[in-house]
Amino acid sequence: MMPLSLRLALFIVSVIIAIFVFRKIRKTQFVIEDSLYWIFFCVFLLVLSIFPGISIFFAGLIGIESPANFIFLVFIFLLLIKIFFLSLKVSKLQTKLEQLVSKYAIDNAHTQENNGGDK
Amino acid sequence: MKILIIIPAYNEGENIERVVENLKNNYPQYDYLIVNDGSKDNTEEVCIKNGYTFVSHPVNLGLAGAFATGIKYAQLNKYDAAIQFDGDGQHEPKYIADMAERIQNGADISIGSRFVSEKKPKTLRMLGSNLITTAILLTTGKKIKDPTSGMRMYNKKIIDVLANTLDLGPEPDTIALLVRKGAKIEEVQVTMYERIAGTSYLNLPRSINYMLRMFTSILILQWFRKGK
Repeated sequence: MMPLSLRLALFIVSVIIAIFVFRKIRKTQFVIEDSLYWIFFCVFLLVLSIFPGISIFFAGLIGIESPANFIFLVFIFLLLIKIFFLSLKVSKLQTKLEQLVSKYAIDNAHTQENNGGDK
Repeated sequence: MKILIIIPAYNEGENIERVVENLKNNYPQYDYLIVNDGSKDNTEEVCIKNGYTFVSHPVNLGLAGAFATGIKYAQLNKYDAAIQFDGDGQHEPKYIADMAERIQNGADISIGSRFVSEKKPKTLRMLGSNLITTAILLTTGKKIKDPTSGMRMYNKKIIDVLANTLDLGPEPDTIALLVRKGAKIEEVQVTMYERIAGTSYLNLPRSINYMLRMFTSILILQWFRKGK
Protein backbone atom coordinates (compact mmCIF):
# COMPACT_ATOMS: atom_id res chain seq x y z
CA MET A 1 0.00 0.00 0.00
CA MET A 2 1.12 3.49 -0.74
CA PRO A 3 -0.33 6.14 1.60
CA LEU A 4 -2.37 8.87 -0.04
CA SER A 5 -0.33 11.56 1.71
CA LEU A 6 2.88 10.31 0.04
CA ARG A 7 1.18 10.27 -3.37
CA LEU A 8 -0.06 13.77 -2.76
CA ALA A 9 3.41 14.93 -1.73
CA LEU A 10 4.97 13.45 -4.89
CA PHE A 11 2.32 15.10 -6.99
CA ILE A 12 2.82 18.53 -5.42
CA VAL A 13 6.62 18.36 -5.61
CA SER A 14 6.37 17.35 -9.25
CA VAL A 15 4.14 20.32 -10.07
CA ILE A 16 6.39 22.75 -8.18
CA ILE A 17 9.53 21.56 -9.99
CA ALA A 18 7.71 21.79 -13.32
CA ILE A 19 6.59 25.37 -12.67
CA PHE A 20 10.10 26.31 -11.64
CA VAL A 21 11.69 24.72 -14.71
CA PHE A 22 9.22 26.32 -17.12
CA ARG A 23 9.80 29.73 -15.57
CA LYS A 24 13.55 29.38 -15.91
CA ILE A 25 13.18 28.33 -19.54
CA ARG A 26 10.99 31.33 -20.25
CA LYS A 27 13.58 33.66 -18.77
CA THR A 28 16.19 31.82 -20.89
CA GLN A 29 18.20 30.99 -17.78
CA PHE A 30 18.04 27.30 -18.59
CA VAL A 31 19.40 25.68 -21.74
CA ILE A 32 16.73 23.34 -23.17
CA GLU A 33 19.09 20.38 -23.21
CA ASP A 34 19.87 20.76 -19.51
CA SER A 35 16.23 21.19 -18.60
CA LEU A 36 15.19 17.90 -20.23
CA TYR A 37 16.38 15.87 -17.27
CA TRP A 38 14.13 17.83 -14.92
CA ILE A 39 11.12 17.65 -17.21
CA PHE A 40 11.44 13.86 -17.35
CA PHE A 41 11.98 13.84 -13.59
CA CYS A 42 8.65 15.68 -13.12
CA VAL A 43 6.80 13.37 -15.47
CA PHE A 44 8.25 10.38 -13.64
CA LEU A 45 7.12 11.74 -10.25
CA LEU A 46 3.70 12.48 -11.63
CA VAL A 47 3.29 8.97 -13.00
CA LEU A 48 4.41 7.42 -9.70
CA SER A 49 1.94 9.52 -7.75
CA ILE A 50 -1.00 8.81 -10.05
CA PHE A 51 -0.33 5.07 -10.49
CA PRO A 52 0.88 3.67 -7.16
CA GLY A 53 0.64 0.19 -8.65
CA ILE A 54 3.97 0.76 -10.43
CA SER A 55 5.91 1.29 -7.19
CA ILE A 56 4.14 -1.59 -5.47
CA PHE A 57 4.91 -3.93 -8.37
CA PHE A 58 8.62 -3.08 -8.62
CA ALA A 59 9.08 -3.01 -4.84
CA GLY A 60 7.72 -6.56 -4.70
CA LEU A 61 9.87 -7.58 -7.67
CA ILE A 62 13.20 -6.65 -6.02
CA GLY A 63 12.12 -7.60 -2.52
CA ILE A 64 11.61 -4.22 -0.87
CA GLU A 65 8.79 -4.29 1.66
CA SER A 66 7.52 -0.75 1.30
CA PRO A 67 6.85 0.94 -2.04
CA ALA A 68 7.96 4.21 -0.43
CA ASN A 69 11.44 2.76 -0.01
CA PHE A 70 11.45 1.79 -3.65
CA ILE A 71 10.72 5.39 -4.55
CA PHE A 72 13.61 6.60 -2.36
CA LEU A 73 15.95 4.11 -3.99
CA VAL A 74 14.99 5.23 -7.48
CA PHE A 75 15.53 8.86 -6.47
CA ILE A 76 18.97 8.12 -5.12
CA PHE A 77 19.95 6.41 -8.39
CA LEU A 78 18.58 9.23 -10.49
CA LEU A 79 20.40 11.85 -8.41
CA LEU A 80 23.66 9.87 -8.48
CA ILE A 81 23.49 9.70 -12.26
CA LYS A 82 22.85 13.43 -12.41
CA ILE A 83 25.77 14.22 -10.11
CA PHE A 84 28.10 11.99 -12.10
CA PHE A 85 27.31 13.73 -15.36
CA LEU A 86 27.46 17.16 -13.71
CA SER A 87 30.91 16.31 -12.38
CA LEU A 88 31.97 15.24 -15.86
CA LYS A 89 30.65 18.47 -17.27
CA VAL A 90 32.54 20.56 -14.71
CA SER A 91 35.75 18.74 -15.69
CA LYS A 92 35.18 19.49 -19.34
CA LEU A 93 34.34 23.12 -18.63
CA GLN A 94 37.46 23.49 -16.50
CA THR A 95 39.61 22.08 -19.31
CA LYS A 96 38.02 24.41 -21.83
CA LEU A 97 38.49 27.38 -19.51
CA GLU A 98 42.17 26.56 -19.05
CA GLN A 99 42.68 26.25 -22.79
CA LEU A 100 40.94 29.56 -23.38
CA VAL A 101 42.92 31.39 -20.72
CA SER A 102 46.20 29.94 -22.05
CA LYS A 103 45.39 30.96 -25.58
CA TYR A 104 44.31 34.42 -24.53
CA ALA A 105 47.50 34.89 -22.51
CA ILE A 106 49.82 33.70 -25.29
CA ASP A 107 48.04 35.75 -27.96
CA ASN A 108 48.56 38.83 -25.80
CA ALA A 109 52.14 38.02 -24.81
CA HIS A 110 54.41 40.84 -23.72
CA THR A 111 57.64 39.99 -25.53
CA GLN A 112 60.64 41.93 -26.78
CA GLU A 113 59.08 42.24 -30.26
CA ASN A 114 55.57 42.81 -29.00
CA ASN A 115 55.99 44.93 -25.94
CA GLY A 116 52.75 45.97 -24.37
CA GLY A 117 50.43 43.44 -25.97
CA ASP A 118 47.13 44.94 -27.06
CA LYS A 119 46.07 46.45 -23.77
CA MET B 1 70.14 24.55 -27.85
CA LYS B 2 67.26 26.99 -27.28
CA ILE B 3 66.15 26.82 -23.65
CA LEU B 4 63.08 28.46 -22.16
CA ILE B 5 62.79 29.10 -18.44
CA ILE B 6 59.12 29.02 -17.43
CA ILE B 7 58.45 31.06 -14.30
CA PRO B 8 54.89 30.64 -13.00
CA ALA B 9 54.11 33.61 -10.77
CA TYR B 10 51.11 34.08 -8.53
CA ASN B 11 51.37 37.11 -6.26
CA GLU B 12 55.16 37.17 -6.55
CA GLY B 13 55.51 40.94 -6.77
CA GLU B 14 58.09 40.88 -3.99
CA ASN B 15 60.21 38.14 -5.53
CA ILE B 16 59.90 38.32 -9.28
CA GLU B 17 62.25 41.25 -9.85
CA ARG B 18 65.10 39.59 -7.93
CA VAL B 19 64.63 36.27 -9.73
CA VAL B 20 64.38 37.74 -13.24
CA GLU B 21 67.16 40.33 -12.81
CA ASN B 22 69.49 37.51 -11.78
CA LEU B 23 68.54 35.58 -14.92
CA LYS B 24 68.84 38.57 -17.24
CA ASN B 25 72.19 39.75 -15.88
CA ASN B 26 73.96 36.48 -15.26
CA TYR B 27 72.33 34.02 -17.66
CA PRO B 28 71.47 35.93 -20.85
CA GLN B 29 71.97 32.75 -22.90
CA TYR B 30 68.56 31.46 -21.71
CA ASP B 31 65.16 32.85 -22.64
CA TYR B 32 62.60 33.16 -19.91
CA LEU B 33 58.84 33.57 -19.75
CA ILE B 34 56.95 34.74 -16.70
CA VAL B 35 53.42 33.36 -16.51
CA ASN B 36 51.52 35.78 -14.33
CA ASP B 37 48.66 33.60 -13.13
CA GLY B 38 46.03 36.21 -12.41
CA SER B 39 48.00 37.74 -9.54
CA LYS B 40 46.13 40.13 -7.28
CA ASP B 41 49.27 42.03 -6.28
CA ASN B 42 51.57 44.17 -8.42
CA THR B 43 53.27 41.27 -10.27
CA GLU B 44 52.00 42.48 -13.64
CA GLU B 45 53.01 46.10 -13.01
CA VAL B 46 56.52 44.99 -12.02
CA CYS B 47 56.78 43.00 -15.27
CA ILE B 48 55.56 45.89 -17.41
CA LYS B 49 57.76 48.43 -15.64
CA ASN B 50 60.87 46.37 -16.29
CA GLY B 51 59.93 45.31 -19.81
CA TYR B 52 60.04 41.60 -18.92
CA THR B 53 58.85 38.90 -21.28
CA PHE B 54 55.61 37.66 -19.78
CA VAL B 55 52.07 36.47 -20.37
CA SER B 56 49.17 37.21 -18.06
CA HIS B 57 46.22 34.99 -17.23
CA PRO B 58 43.05 37.08 -16.82
CA VAL B 59 41.97 34.72 -14.02
CA ASN B 60 43.88 32.50 -11.60
CA LEU B 61 44.19 28.90 -12.84
CA GLY B 62 46.71 27.48 -10.39
CA LEU B 63 50.21 26.14 -10.95
CA ALA B 64 49.15 23.45 -13.42
CA GLY B 65 47.42 26.02 -15.62
CA ALA B 66 50.36 28.42 -15.50
CA PHE B 67 52.73 25.61 -16.39
CA ALA B 68 50.49 24.51 -19.28
CA THR B 69 50.58 28.03 -20.72
CA GLY B 70 54.38 28.10 -20.48
CA ILE B 71 54.67 24.73 -22.21
CA LYS B 72 52.35 25.84 -25.02
CA TYR B 73 54.45 28.96 -25.47
CA ALA B 74 57.60 26.80 -25.63
CA GLN B 75 56.03 24.56 -28.26
CA LEU B 76 54.78 27.50 -30.30
CA ASN B 77 58.20 29.16 -30.29
CA LYS B 78 60.02 25.89 -31.02
CA TYR B 79 62.22 25.64 -27.98
CA ASP B 80 64.51 22.61 -27.65
CA ALA B 81 64.00 22.42 -23.90
CA ALA B 82 61.87 24.06 -21.24
CA ILE B 83 62.48 24.21 -17.52
CA GLN B 84 60.02 24.84 -14.70
CA PHE B 85 61.43 27.48 -12.44
CA ASP B 86 60.10 28.89 -9.20
CA GLY B 87 59.01 32.52 -9.12
CA ASP B 88 59.98 32.89 -5.48
CA GLY B 89 63.70 32.30 -5.82
CA GLN B 90 63.99 28.74 -4.48
CA HIS B 91 65.76 27.54 -7.62
CA GLU B 92 69.27 28.50 -8.65
CA PRO B 93 69.88 29.09 -12.34
CA LYS B 94 73.48 27.88 -12.09
CA TYR B 95 72.24 24.30 -12.31
CA ILE B 96 70.42 24.82 -15.60
CA ALA B 97 73.57 24.17 -17.65
CA ASP B 98 74.04 20.82 -15.94
CA MET B 99 70.44 19.84 -16.53
CA ALA B 100 70.58 20.96 -20.16
CA GLU B 101 73.69 18.83 -20.70
CA ARG B 102 71.75 15.71 -19.67
CA ILE B 103 69.04 16.61 -22.16
CA GLN B 104 71.63 17.12 -24.87
CA ASN B 105 73.08 13.71 -24.06
CA GLY B 106 69.76 12.04 -24.68
CA ALA B 107 67.65 12.36 -21.53
CA ASP B 108 64.00 13.34 -22.10
CA ILE B 109 63.55 14.81 -18.65
CA SER B 110 66.17 16.02 -16.20
CA ILE B 111 65.23 16.76 -12.61
CA GLY B 112 67.06 19.18 -10.35
CA SER B 113 67.20 16.79 -7.44
CA ARG B 114 68.06 17.60 -3.84
CA PHE B 115 68.94 14.00 -3.03
CA VAL B 116 71.23 12.43 -5.62
CA SER B 117 74.35 12.52 -3.45
CA GLU B 118 72.82 14.24 -0.43
CA LYS B 119 70.73 12.26 2.05
CA LYS B 120 67.07 13.02 2.65
CA PRO B 121 66.45 14.65 6.02
CA LYS B 122 64.01 12.75 8.24
CA THR B 123 61.06 15.12 8.24
CA LEU B 124 57.36 14.51 7.69
CA ARG B 125 57.63 16.14 4.31
CA MET B 126 60.43 13.82 3.27
CA LEU B 127 58.42 10.83 4.45
CA GLY B 128 55.87 11.94 1.86
CA SER B 129 58.62 12.27 -0.72
CA ASN B 130 59.84 8.74 0.09
CA LEU B 131 56.34 7.32 -0.27
CA ILE B 132 56.00 8.87 -3.72
CA THR B 133 59.44 7.54 -4.69
CA THR B 134 58.29 4.07 -3.64
CA ALA B 135 55.00 4.35 -5.54
CA ILE B 136 56.85 5.36 -8.71
CA LEU B 137 59.41 2.58 -8.21
CA LEU B 138 56.59 0.04 -7.89
CA THR B 139 54.79 1.09 -11.05
CA THR B 140 57.69 2.05 -13.34
CA GLY B 141 60.72 0.24 -11.93
CA LYS B 142 62.61 3.53 -11.91
CA LYS B 143 63.91 5.14 -8.73
CA ILE B 144 63.40 8.90 -8.68
CA LYS B 145 65.05 10.26 -5.58
CA ASP B 146 63.41 13.68 -5.57
CA PRO B 147 60.01 13.29 -7.25
CA THR B 148 58.54 16.45 -5.71
CA SER B 149 61.32 18.75 -6.89
CA GLY B 150 59.74 21.63 -8.78
CA MET B 151 62.82 22.07 -10.96
CA ARG B 152 62.35 19.92 -14.03
CA MET B 153 63.60 20.27 -17.59
CA TYR B 154 61.87 18.68 -20.56
CA ASN B 155 63.14 18.12 -24.09
CA LYS B 156 61.27 18.92 -27.28
CA LYS B 157 59.58 15.54 -27.48
CA ILE B 158 58.16 15.86 -23.95
CA ILE B 159 57.17 19.50 -24.54
CA ASP B 160 55.01 18.28 -27.43
CA VAL B 161 53.47 15.53 -25.32
CA LEU B 162 52.72 17.95 -22.46
CA ALA B 163 51.29 20.58 -24.78
CA ASN B 164 49.08 18.13 -26.67
CA THR B 165 47.78 15.99 -23.83
CA LEU B 166 45.20 17.15 -21.32
CA ASP B 167 45.78 17.14 -17.61
CA LEU B 168 49.54 16.56 -17.45
CA GLY B 169 50.38 18.92 -14.61
CA PRO B 170 53.83 19.67 -13.21
CA GLU B 171 53.56 16.92 -10.59
CA PRO B 172 55.19 13.57 -9.79
CA ASP B 173 52.30 11.59 -11.27
CA THR B 174 53.02 13.13 -14.67
CA ILE B 175 56.67 12.11 -14.33
CA ALA B 176 55.62 8.57 -13.42
CA LEU B 177 53.28 8.38 -16.40
CA LEU B 178 55.93 9.69 -18.81
CA VAL B 179 58.54 7.25 -17.47
CA ARG B 180 56.11 4.38 -17.88
CA LYS B 181 55.50 5.49 -21.46
CA GLY B 182 59.23 5.29 -22.11
CA ALA B 183 60.67 8.71 -21.24
CA LYS B 184 64.32 8.67 -20.20
CA ILE B 185 64.88 10.52 -16.97
CA GLU B 186 67.97 11.75 -15.13
CA GLU B 187 68.58 13.56 -11.87
CA VAL B 188 71.13 16.29 -11.27
CA GLN B 189 72.23 17.21 -7.76
CA VAL B 190 71.13 20.75 -6.83
CA THR B 191 70.70 22.83 -3.70
CA MET B 192 67.54 24.80 -3.18
CA TYR B 193 66.99 27.96 -1.19
CA GLU B 194 64.32 28.41 1.41
CA ARG B 195 61.69 30.97 0.46
CA ILE B 196 62.82 34.54 1.06
CA ALA B 197 59.44 36.29 0.88
CA GLY B 198 55.84 35.09 0.77
CA THR B 199 54.48 31.89 2.27
CA SER B 200 54.44 28.29 1.10
CA TYR B 201 50.99 27.07 0.12
CA LEU B 202 51.43 23.68 1.78
CA ASN B 203 49.57 23.05 5.03
CA LEU B 204 48.35 19.82 6.62
CA PRO B 205 44.98 19.37 4.86
CA ARG B 206 46.55 20.34 1.54
CA SER B 207 49.43 17.93 2.09
CA ILE B 208 47.08 15.06 2.85
CA ASN B 209 45.00 15.91 -0.18
CA TYR B 210 48.17 16.08 -2.29
CA MET B 211 49.42 12.69 -1.10
CA LEU B 212 46.04 11.04 -1.72
CA ARG B 213 45.93 12.51 -5.19
CA MET B 214 49.47 11.40 -6.02
CA PHE B 215 48.91 7.89 -4.71
CA THR B 216 45.62 7.32 -6.47
CA SER B 217 47.02 8.79 -9.65
CA ILE B 218 50.32 6.87 -9.64
CA LEU B 219 49.10 3.53 -8.34
CA ILE B 220 45.64 3.25 -9.90
CA LEU B 221 44.67 5.84 -12.50
CA GLN B 222 47.96 5.73 -14.37
CA TRP B 223 47.04 2.41 -15.96
CA PHE B 224 44.05 3.99 -17.68
CA ARG B 225 45.74 7.11 -18.98
CA LYS B 226 47.00 8.00 -22.39
CA GLY B 227 50.14 10.08 -22.81
CA LYS B 228 51.92 8.65 -25.84
